[in-house]
Amino acid sequence: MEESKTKPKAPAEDGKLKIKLPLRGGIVCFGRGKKKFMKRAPEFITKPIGGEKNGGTRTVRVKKLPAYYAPEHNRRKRKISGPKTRQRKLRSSLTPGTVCITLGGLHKGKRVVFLKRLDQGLCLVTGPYKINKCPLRRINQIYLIATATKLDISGIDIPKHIDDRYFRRTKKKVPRSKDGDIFLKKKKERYTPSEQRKKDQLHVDKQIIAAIRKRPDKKYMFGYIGTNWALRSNMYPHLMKF
Amino acid sequence: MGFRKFVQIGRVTYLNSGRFKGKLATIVDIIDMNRALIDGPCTGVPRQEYKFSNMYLTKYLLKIERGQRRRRLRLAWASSKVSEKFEKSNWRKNIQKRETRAQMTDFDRYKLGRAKQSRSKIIRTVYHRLHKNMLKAKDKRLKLRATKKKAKKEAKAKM
Repeated sequence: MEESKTKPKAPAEDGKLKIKLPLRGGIVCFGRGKKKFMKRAPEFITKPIGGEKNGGTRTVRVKKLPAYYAPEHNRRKRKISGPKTRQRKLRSSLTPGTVCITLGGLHKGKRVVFLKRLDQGLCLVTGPYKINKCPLRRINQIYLIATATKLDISGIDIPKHIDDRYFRRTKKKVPRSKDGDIFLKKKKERYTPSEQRKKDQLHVDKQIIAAIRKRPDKKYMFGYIGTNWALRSNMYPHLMKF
Repeated sequence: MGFRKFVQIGRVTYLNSGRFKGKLATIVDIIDMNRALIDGPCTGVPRQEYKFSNMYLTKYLLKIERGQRRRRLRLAWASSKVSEKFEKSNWRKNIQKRETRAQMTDFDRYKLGRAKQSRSKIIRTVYHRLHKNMLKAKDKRLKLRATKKKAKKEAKAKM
Protein backbone atom coordinates (compact mmCIF):
# COMPACT_ATOMS: atom_id res chain seq x y z
CA MET A 1 0.00 0.00 0.00
CA GLU A 2 2.71 2.31 0.97
CA GLU A 3 4.56 1.71 -2.21
CA SER A 4 1.59 2.45 -4.31
CA LYS A 5 1.15 5.75 -2.53
CA THR A 6 4.68 6.93 -2.92
CA LYS A 7 5.06 5.67 -6.41
CA PRO A 8 3.81 7.96 -9.05
CA LYS A 9 0.94 6.75 -11.02
CA ALA A 10 1.54 3.67 -12.99
CA PRO A 11 -0.43 3.01 -16.10
CA ALA A 12 -3.87 1.89 -15.10
CA GLU A 13 -5.24 -1.47 -15.99
CA ASP A 14 -7.17 -0.22 -18.94
CA GLY A 15 -4.02 1.33 -20.34
CA LYS A 16 -5.07 4.89 -19.78
CA LEU A 17 -3.11 7.27 -17.64
CA LYS A 18 -4.77 8.89 -14.73
CA ILE A 19 -3.29 12.32 -14.61
CA LYS A 20 -3.70 14.78 -11.87
CA LEU A 21 -4.39 18.24 -13.02
CA PRO A 22 -1.90 20.97 -12.16
CA LEU A 23 -1.75 21.55 -8.45
CA ARG A 24 -0.88 25.16 -8.49
CA GLY A 25 -0.09 27.57 -11.18
CA GLY A 26 2.93 26.28 -13.04
CA ILE A 27 3.53 23.21 -10.88
CA VAL A 28 2.63 19.97 -12.47
CA CYS A 29 2.60 16.81 -10.50
CA PHE A 30 3.99 14.60 -13.13
CA GLY A 31 7.51 14.33 -14.38
CA ARG A 32 8.94 14.40 -17.78
CA GLY A 33 8.85 10.60 -18.12
CA LYS A 34 5.15 10.44 -17.64
CA LYS A 35 4.49 13.02 -20.25
CA LYS A 36 4.67 10.55 -23.04
CA PHE A 37 1.43 9.00 -21.88
CA MET A 38 -0.38 12.19 -22.42
CA LYS A 39 -1.67 12.73 -25.83
CA ARG A 40 -1.56 16.26 -26.86
CA ALA A 41 -3.85 17.59 -29.49
CA PRO A 42 -1.79 18.52 -32.54
CA GLU A 43 -1.03 22.19 -32.89
CA PHE A 44 -0.42 22.14 -36.58
CA ILE A 45 -1.93 20.24 -39.40
CA THR A 46 -0.99 20.12 -42.99
CA LYS A 47 -3.61 21.15 -45.40
CA PRO A 48 -3.71 20.72 -49.10
CA ILE A 49 -4.03 23.99 -50.89
CA GLY A 50 -4.83 24.94 -54.41
CA GLY A 51 -2.81 26.94 -56.85
CA GLU A 52 -0.01 25.84 -59.10
CA LYS A 53 3.03 27.35 -57.45
CA ASN A 54 1.95 27.05 -53.88
CA GLY A 55 3.73 23.85 -52.95
CA GLY A 56 0.59 21.79 -52.58
CA THR A 57 0.41 21.76 -48.82
CA ARG A 58 0.74 24.12 -45.95
CA THR A 59 1.06 23.68 -42.22
CA VAL A 60 -1.61 25.59 -40.48
CA ARG A 61 -2.36 26.14 -36.86
CA VAL A 62 -5.36 24.20 -35.71
CA LYS A 63 -6.26 26.91 -33.33
CA LYS A 64 -5.61 30.37 -34.51
CA LEU A 65 -3.46 32.56 -32.33
CA PRO A 66 -5.43 35.35 -30.78
CA ALA A 67 -5.35 38.59 -32.66
CA TYR A 68 -5.41 40.55 -29.47
CA TYR A 69 -3.35 40.17 -26.33
CA ALA A 70 -4.66 42.07 -23.40
CA PRO A 71 -2.01 44.38 -21.98
CA GLU A 72 -3.42 43.80 -18.57
CA HIS A 73 -4.86 40.66 -17.03
CA ASN A 74 -8.27 40.65 -15.48
CA ARG A 75 -8.89 44.18 -16.41
CA ARG A 76 -12.05 45.52 -14.93
CA LYS A 77 -14.69 46.62 -17.27
CA ARG A 78 -15.91 50.10 -16.78
CA LYS A 79 -19.33 50.17 -15.39
CA ILE A 80 -21.84 52.16 -17.29
CA SER A 81 -24.19 53.48 -14.74
CA GLY A 82 -27.59 54.75 -15.50
CA PRO A 83 -29.46 54.89 -18.73
CA LYS A 84 -27.60 55.72 -21.90
CA THR A 85 -29.18 59.07 -22.52
CA ARG A 86 -29.85 61.22 -19.56
CA GLN A 87 -32.50 63.83 -19.83
CA ARG A 88 -31.12 67.23 -19.07
CA LYS A 89 -32.82 69.56 -16.72
CA LEU A 90 -35.09 72.06 -18.33
CA ARG A 91 -34.13 75.64 -17.63
CA SER A 92 -36.41 77.08 -15.00
CA SER A 93 -37.08 80.12 -17.16
CA LEU A 94 -38.76 77.93 -19.76
CA THR A 95 -42.34 77.46 -18.73
CA PRO A 96 -45.37 76.85 -20.92
CA GLY A 97 -46.27 80.10 -22.61
CA THR A 98 -42.81 81.66 -22.48
CA VAL A 99 -41.93 83.69 -25.51
CA CYS A 100 -38.51 82.50 -26.66
CA ILE A 101 -35.96 83.60 -29.19
CA THR A 102 -34.73 80.80 -31.40
CA LEU A 103 -31.03 80.79 -32.09
CA GLY A 104 -30.67 77.78 -34.34
CA GLY A 105 -32.34 75.94 -37.15
CA LEU A 106 -34.38 77.14 -40.04
CA HIS A 107 -36.36 79.59 -37.96
CA LYS A 108 -33.51 81.21 -36.10
CA GLY A 109 -34.07 84.73 -34.92
CA LYS A 110 -37.79 84.26 -34.61
CA ARG A 111 -39.75 84.78 -31.47
CA VAL A 112 -41.73 81.68 -30.70
CA VAL A 113 -43.94 80.37 -27.93
CA PHE A 114 -42.75 77.50 -25.78
CA LEU A 115 -45.51 74.95 -25.31
CA LYS A 116 -44.10 72.01 -23.40
CA ARG A 117 -41.29 69.56 -23.11
CA LEU A 118 -41.46 66.29 -24.98
CA ASP A 119 -40.39 62.94 -23.58
CA GLN A 120 -37.02 62.93 -25.30
CA GLY A 121 -36.19 66.27 -23.74
CA LEU A 122 -36.75 68.50 -26.71
CA CYS A 123 -38.94 71.54 -26.46
CA LEU A 124 -42.17 71.87 -28.38
CA VAL A 125 -42.56 75.36 -29.77
CA THR A 126 -44.81 77.13 -32.20
CA GLY A 127 -44.64 80.53 -33.89
CA PRO A 128 -47.65 80.63 -33.99
CA TYR A 129 -47.51 79.76 -37.67
CA LYS A 130 -50.10 82.34 -38.56
CA ILE A 131 -47.99 85.17 -37.11
CA ASN A 132 -44.40 84.34 -37.98
CA LYS A 133 -44.50 81.16 -40.07
CA CYS A 134 -42.85 78.99 -37.48
CA PRO A 135 -44.86 75.77 -37.27
CA LEU A 136 -45.10 73.33 -34.41
CA ARG A 137 -41.53 72.24 -34.00
CA ARG A 138 -39.13 70.49 -31.73
CA ILE A 139 -36.05 72.38 -30.62
CA ASN A 140 -33.29 71.83 -28.13
CA GLN A 141 -33.39 74.23 -25.20
CA ILE A 142 -29.80 75.32 -25.88
CA TYR A 143 -31.10 77.07 -28.97
CA LEU A 144 -33.69 79.03 -27.07
CA ILE A 145 -33.39 82.27 -25.15
CA ALA A 146 -36.27 82.50 -22.74
CA THR A 147 -37.65 86.01 -22.38
CA ALA A 148 -39.43 87.40 -19.37
CA THR A 149 -42.58 87.70 -21.46
CA LYS A 150 -45.05 84.96 -20.85
CA LEU A 151 -48.42 84.19 -22.37
CA ASP A 152 -51.10 82.68 -20.24
CA ILE A 153 -51.71 79.39 -21.99
CA SER A 154 -52.70 77.41 -18.94
CA GLY A 155 -55.95 76.15 -20.39
CA ILE A 156 -54.54 75.29 -23.78
CA ASP A 157 -55.18 71.94 -25.35
CA ILE A 158 -52.22 70.42 -27.14
CA PRO A 159 -53.29 67.23 -28.93
CA LYS A 160 -51.87 64.21 -27.17
CA HIS A 161 -50.63 62.60 -30.32
CA ILE A 162 -48.09 65.37 -30.78
CA ASP A 163 -45.03 63.66 -29.40
CA ASP A 164 -41.56 62.75 -30.56
CA ARG A 165 -42.92 60.10 -32.87
CA TYR A 166 -45.14 62.64 -34.54
CA PHE A 167 -42.11 64.63 -35.61
CA ARG A 168 -40.00 61.72 -36.71
CA ARG A 169 -38.74 61.91 -40.24
CA THR A 170 -40.29 59.42 -42.61
CA LYS A 171 -37.89 57.77 -44.97
CA LYS A 172 -39.35 56.75 -48.23
CA LYS A 173 -37.99 53.53 -49.60
CA VAL A 174 -37.19 54.06 -53.19
CA PRO A 175 -37.18 50.80 -55.14
CA ARG A 176 -34.17 50.41 -57.35
CA SER A 177 -35.20 50.73 -60.88
CA LYS A 178 -33.86 47.87 -62.94
CA ASP A 179 -33.18 49.67 -66.14
CA GLY A 180 -33.09 53.25 -64.88
CA ASP A 181 -29.92 55.27 -64.84
CA ILE A 182 -28.53 55.39 -61.31
CA PHE A 183 -26.77 58.65 -62.05
CA LEU A 184 -29.96 60.25 -63.13
CA LYS A 185 -30.64 63.25 -61.00
CA LYS A 186 -33.54 62.73 -58.72
CA LYS A 187 -36.13 65.39 -58.43
CA LYS A 188 -35.93 67.06 -55.09
CA GLU A 189 -39.14 66.58 -53.26
CA ARG A 190 -40.44 69.57 -51.45
CA TYR A 191 -41.74 69.05 -48.00
CA THR A 192 -45.43 69.40 -47.74
CA PRO A 193 -47.09 69.10 -44.38
CA SER A 194 -49.69 66.44 -44.00
CA GLU A 195 -53.33 67.23 -43.49
CA GLN A 196 -53.02 66.10 -39.90
CA ARG A 197 -50.24 68.57 -39.24
CA LYS A 198 -52.13 71.39 -40.80
CA LYS A 199 -55.09 70.57 -38.68
CA ASP A 200 -53.06 70.43 -35.50
CA GLN A 201 -51.31 73.67 -36.35
CA LEU A 202 -54.59 75.45 -36.79
CA HIS A 203 -55.90 73.99 -33.57
CA VAL A 204 -52.92 75.15 -31.51
CA ASP A 205 -52.55 78.52 -33.26
CA LYS A 206 -56.14 79.42 -32.63
CA GLN A 207 -55.75 78.95 -28.91
CA ILE A 208 -52.50 80.85 -28.66
CA ILE A 209 -53.79 83.76 -30.68
CA ALA A 210 -56.80 83.84 -28.40
CA ALA A 211 -54.42 83.98 -25.44
CA ILE A 212 -52.60 86.93 -27.02
CA ARG A 213 -55.89 88.71 -27.70
CA LYS A 214 -56.71 88.60 -24.02
CA ARG A 215 -53.71 90.73 -23.17
CA PRO A 216 -54.07 94.49 -22.83
CA ASP A 217 -50.93 94.99 -24.93
CA LYS A 218 -52.11 92.64 -27.65
CA LYS A 219 -51.36 95.14 -30.40
CA TYR A 220 -47.70 95.17 -29.46
CA MET A 221 -47.67 91.47 -28.75
CA PHE A 222 -48.66 90.52 -32.27
CA GLY A 223 -46.00 92.79 -33.66
CA TYR A 224 -43.44 91.52 -31.16
CA ILE A 225 -43.88 87.89 -32.05
CA GLY A 226 -44.12 88.76 -35.71
CA THR A 227 -40.73 90.48 -35.88
CA ASN A 228 -37.36 88.84 -35.88
CA TRP A 229 -34.84 89.42 -33.17
CA ALA A 230 -31.40 90.73 -34.03
CA LEU A 231 -28.38 92.20 -32.34
CA ARG A 232 -27.33 95.69 -33.20
CA SER A 233 -24.32 97.73 -32.27
CA ASN A 234 -23.70 98.22 -28.58
CA MET A 235 -25.91 95.28 -27.70
CA TYR A 236 -24.11 92.75 -25.56
CA PRO A 237 -26.29 89.68 -25.11
CA HIS A 238 -24.46 88.52 -22.00
CA LEU A 239 -25.26 91.82 -20.31
CA MET A 240 -28.79 92.12 -21.58
CA LYS A 241 -31.95 91.12 -19.86
CA PHE A 242 -34.42 89.17 -21.96
CA MET B 1 -11.07 126.76 -19.93
CA GLY B 2 -9.02 125.21 -17.21
CA PHE B 3 -9.94 122.54 -14.75
CA ARG B 4 -12.81 123.27 -12.49
CA LYS B 5 -12.95 120.22 -10.30
CA PHE B 6 -10.00 119.42 -8.12
CA VAL B 7 -9.10 116.73 -5.68
CA GLN B 8 -9.35 118.75 -2.49
CA ILE B 9 -10.68 118.57 1.03
CA GLY B 10 -14.44 118.81 0.95
CA ARG B 11 -14.81 117.71 -2.69
CA VAL B 12 -17.92 115.57 -3.07
CA THR B 13 -17.27 112.47 -5.16
CA TYR B 14 -19.46 109.94 -6.88
CA LEU B 15 -18.23 106.43 -6.19
CA ASN B 16 -18.42 104.52 -9.42
CA SER B 17 -16.88 101.26 -8.41
CA GLY B 18 -16.26 99.17 -5.33
CA ARG B 19 -18.59 98.22 -2.55
CA PHE B 20 -20.23 101.63 -2.25
CA LYS B 21 -20.81 102.04 -5.95
CA GLY B 22 -23.38 104.66 -6.84
CA LYS B 23 -23.08 106.63 -3.61
CA LEU B 24 -21.82 110.08 -2.82
CA ALA B 25 -19.06 110.83 -0.36
CA THR B 26 -16.72 113.68 0.39
CA ILE B 27 -12.98 113.77 0.52
CA VAL B 28 -11.84 114.32 4.09
CA ASP B 29 -8.14 113.75 3.63
CA ILE B 30 -5.76 112.90 0.84
CA ILE B 31 -3.58 109.91 1.58
CA ASP B 32 -1.36 109.80 -1.50
CA MET B 33 -1.44 110.08 -5.24
CA ASN B 34 -3.88 107.24 -5.54
CA ARG B 35 -6.08 107.26 -2.48
CA ALA B 36 -8.14 109.59 -0.38
CA LEU B 37 -9.93 109.30 2.93
CA ILE B 38 -13.60 109.68 2.20
CA ASP B 39 -16.71 109.89 4.31
CA GLY B 40 -20.39 110.02 3.52
CA PRO B 41 -22.28 110.51 6.75
CA CYS B 42 -25.60 111.19 5.04
CA THR B 43 -25.26 108.57 2.32
CA GLY B 44 -24.28 105.53 4.34
CA VAL B 45 -20.62 105.48 3.38
CA PRO B 46 -18.33 104.91 6.37
CA ARG B 47 -15.03 106.72 6.66
CA GLN B 48 -12.51 104.80 4.59
CA GLU B 49 -9.77 105.07 2.07
CA TYR B 50 -10.86 104.96 -1.54
CA LYS B 51 -8.98 104.95 -4.81
CA PHE B 52 -9.25 107.98 -7.04
CA SER B 53 -9.71 105.63 -9.94
CA ASN B 54 -12.92 104.39 -8.33
CA MET B 55 -14.56 107.78 -8.01
CA TYR B 56 -15.70 110.72 -10.08
CA LEU B 57 -15.34 114.27 -8.85
CA THR B 58 -18.54 116.29 -8.73
CA LYS B 59 -18.90 120.03 -8.87
CA TYR B 60 -20.02 120.19 -5.25
CA LEU B 61 -17.64 121.35 -2.56
CA LEU B 62 -18.20 121.34 1.18
CA LYS B 63 -16.60 123.81 3.47
CA ILE B 64 -14.84 121.51 5.89
CA GLU B 65 -11.51 121.14 7.55
CA ARG B 66 -9.00 118.44 6.85
CA GLY B 67 -9.95 115.31 8.79
CA GLN B 68 -13.23 116.86 9.83
CA ARG B 69 -15.18 114.89 12.43
CA ARG B 70 -18.43 113.28 11.43
CA ARG B 71 -20.81 115.61 13.29
CA ARG B 72 -19.56 118.75 11.57
CA LEU B 73 -19.36 116.92 8.29
CA ARG B 74 -22.98 115.93 8.57
CA LEU B 75 -23.99 119.48 9.30
CA ALA B 76 -22.00 120.78 6.34
CA TRP B 77 -23.52 118.16 4.07
CA ALA B 78 -27.05 118.91 5.18
CA SER B 79 -26.70 122.68 4.96
CA SER B 80 -25.25 122.58 1.45
CA LYS B 81 -28.02 120.18 0.29
CA VAL B 82 -25.64 118.15 -1.80
CA SER B 83 -27.87 115.09 -1.96
CA GLU B 84 -30.88 117.08 -3.13
CA LYS B 85 -28.88 118.95 -5.73
CA PHE B 86 -27.37 115.77 -7.06
CA GLU B 87 -30.79 114.12 -7.18
CA LYS B 88 -32.01 116.87 -9.50
CA SER B 89 -28.91 116.97 -11.68
CA ASN B 90 -28.64 115.71 -15.24
CA TRP B 91 -25.95 113.35 -14.09
CA ARG B 92 -28.38 111.55 -11.87
CA LYS B 93 -30.95 111.48 -14.65
CA ASN B 94 -28.46 109.86 -16.96
CA ILE B 95 -27.63 107.25 -14.36
CA GLN B 96 -31.28 106.48 -13.94
CA LYS B 97 -31.75 106.27 -17.65
CA ARG B 98 -28.93 103.77 -17.89
CA GLU B 99 -30.40 101.74 -15.09
CA THR B 100 -33.85 101.61 -16.59
CA ARG B 101 -32.39 100.65 -19.94
CA ALA B 102 -30.45 97.82 -18.37
CA GLN B 103 -33.62 96.59 -16.70
CA MET B 104 -35.57 96.49 -19.93
CA THR B 105 -36.70 93.12 -21.22
CA ASP B 106 -36.80 92.08 -24.83
CA PHE B 107 -40.46 93.01 -25.14
CA ASP B 108 -39.79 96.42 -23.60
CA ARG B 109 -37.03 97.03 -26.10
CA TYR B 110 -39.43 96.19 -28.90
CA LYS B 111 -42.04 98.57 -27.52
CA LEU B 112 -39.42 101.29 -27.19
CA GLY B 113 -38.45 100.76 -30.80
CA ARG B 114 -42.05 101.13 -31.90
CA ALA B 115 -42.45 104.28 -29.81
CA LYS B 116 -39.34 105.73 -31.40
CA GLN B 117 -40.69 104.86 -34.81
CA SER B 118 -43.98 106.64 -34.22
CA ARG B 119 -42.20 109.62 -32.72
CA SER B 120 -39.94 110.01 -35.70
CA LYS B 121 -42.92 109.60 -37.99
CA ILE B 122 -44.67 112.54 -36.32
CA ILE B 123 -41.53 114.62 -36.53
CA ARG B 124 -41.04 113.70 -40.15
CA THR B 125 -44.57 114.63 -41.20
CA VAL B 126 -44.36 117.98 -39.46
CA TYR B 127 -40.97 118.63 -40.98
CA HIS B 128 -42.16 117.80 -44.46
CA ARG B 129 -45.18 120.02 -44.09
CA LEU B 130 -43.04 122.94 -43.00
CA HIS B 131 -40.54 122.22 -45.73
CA LYS B 132 -43.25 122.16 -48.35
CA ASN B 133 -44.67 125.43 -47.13
CA MET B 134 -41.25 126.93 -47.17
CA LEU B 135 -40.68 125.83 -50.74
CA LYS B 136 -44.04 127.17 -51.76
CA ALA B 137 -43.25 130.50 -50.22
CA LYS B 138 -39.91 130.53 -51.94
CA ASP B 139 -41.54 129.73 -55.23
CA LYS B 140 -44.00 132.52 -54.77
CA ARG B 141 -41.22 134.92 -53.97
CA LEU B 142 -39.29 133.96 -57.07
CA LYS B 143 -42.32 134.30 -59.26
CA LEU B 144 -43.02 137.71 -57.85
CA ARG B 145 -39.47 138.76 -58.49
CA ALA B 146 -39.66 137.47 -62.03
CA THR B 147 -42.82 139.40 -62.78
CA LYS B 148 -41.27 142.53 -61.34
CA LYS B 149 -38.18 142.10 -63.48
CA LYS B 150 -40.32 141.56 -66.53
CA ALA B 151 -42.30 144.70 -65.81
CA LYS B 152 -39.07 146.64 -65.41
CA LYS B 153 -37.74 145.38 -68.71
CA GLU B 154 -40.94 146.28 -70.48
CA ALA B 155 -40.89 149.70 -68.99
CA LYS B 156 -37.28 150.14 -70.17
CA ALA B 157 -38.18 148.98 -73.65
CA LYS B 158 -41.02 151.47 -73.82
CA MET B 159 -38.73 154.23 -72.88
